[in-house]
Amino acid sequence: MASHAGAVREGWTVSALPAGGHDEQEERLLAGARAGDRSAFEGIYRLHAGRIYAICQRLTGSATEAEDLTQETFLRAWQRLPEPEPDRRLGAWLRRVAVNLACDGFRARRSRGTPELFDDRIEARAVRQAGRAAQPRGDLDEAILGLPDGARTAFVLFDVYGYRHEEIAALTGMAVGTSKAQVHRARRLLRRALEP
Amino acid sequence: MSCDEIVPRLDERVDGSLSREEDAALGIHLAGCPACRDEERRLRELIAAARALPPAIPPGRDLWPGIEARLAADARVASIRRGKRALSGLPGWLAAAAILIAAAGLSLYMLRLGGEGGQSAIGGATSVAARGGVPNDLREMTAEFRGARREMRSALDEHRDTLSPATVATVEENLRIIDAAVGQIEAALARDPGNQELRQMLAATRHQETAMLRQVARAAVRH
Repeated sequence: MASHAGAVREGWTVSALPAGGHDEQEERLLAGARAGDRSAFEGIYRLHAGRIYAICQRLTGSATEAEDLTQETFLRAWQRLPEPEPDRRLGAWLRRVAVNLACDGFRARRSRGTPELFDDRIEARAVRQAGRAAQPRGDLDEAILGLPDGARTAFVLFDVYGYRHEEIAALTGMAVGTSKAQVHRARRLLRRALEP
Repeated sequence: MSCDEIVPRLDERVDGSLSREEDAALGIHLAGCPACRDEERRLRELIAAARALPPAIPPGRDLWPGIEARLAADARVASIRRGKRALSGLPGWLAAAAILIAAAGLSLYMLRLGGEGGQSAIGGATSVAARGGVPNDLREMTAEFRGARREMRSALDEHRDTLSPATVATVEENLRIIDAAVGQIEAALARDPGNQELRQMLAATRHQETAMLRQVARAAVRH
């Protein structure tokens, strides 16, 4: 878990990128984008769009919301490119922007809605929903999309992307104990949903 | 410990958050309980599967055109804002003309987006068209717009000696924006010459702009 979580907390810096064709290409694109070249920024989008879209879809559970969030992530990135933060990698930095935006949405939904209750009936419905989403292939990614909002958010951040519960609490406004409970709940729901 | 007590603690065990003593106690139970061992195995498999999910999922459609359109629109808005700041010390007629021309460039850009599917841009401009009595011939309107540009150029040349280099540079920049706007009109016509709604919207917008530009140029001559 430590190395997994560590990857999330990596910083962003061009000079810190390891040598290699992909990184050299990214470095050139980043330099161009910083100088205001939109075609260079498109290159950055092409390199990272899939990863950003993936985390947005897993966090929101919605393809439409994920598309909006992905676009918003790159728009924010363009606005901040002229002021890169030292010691941060571009991919991790973009992901952090996307996660912050997704968690802003989560907090807004929480503040508007009622607290999530876990009773047997709600849990059974959640299992059915996740199970339907996962059919016909028993696909974990699809099952995640069918989870309740809080369980999905905590599970994706903790188990898929390696955030610590303290980080999840800071991002989402959940208590640390709630984050743990939601991860455990998500695992339980997913296992039941994916049972053959 | 019973199975009912063990199962809820398995999450903490696989996360490594149990104390050494608690973990040892669970281990003793698991060593003698195939059902709980199976429960733990399935839990670890789920977590491993979550960490092995593909890092990238391609979006269902290319999102770049939408991003690019927003970047271009934001750049134009920023340009207008910069222009307004730069124009704060200019003679009134020049400031008004430059802001008008910059806004014309933005409105034309939004019209072009509307012609390619931007609903809000079309909706906003339709009301302009509905309010005005609009000329239908866009080529004639383009010529009219170019005439206004020439008038402003003449006014500028006439007042050039009395203006600061920064003022002249600002006006020159906005004249370049007009050139780009005219080019976009011609490109829009070439792409979709039969689009009556687009023709009327462009005509209405340009008619208003050229009329105001002429007034500004005449005021400059009187200045």
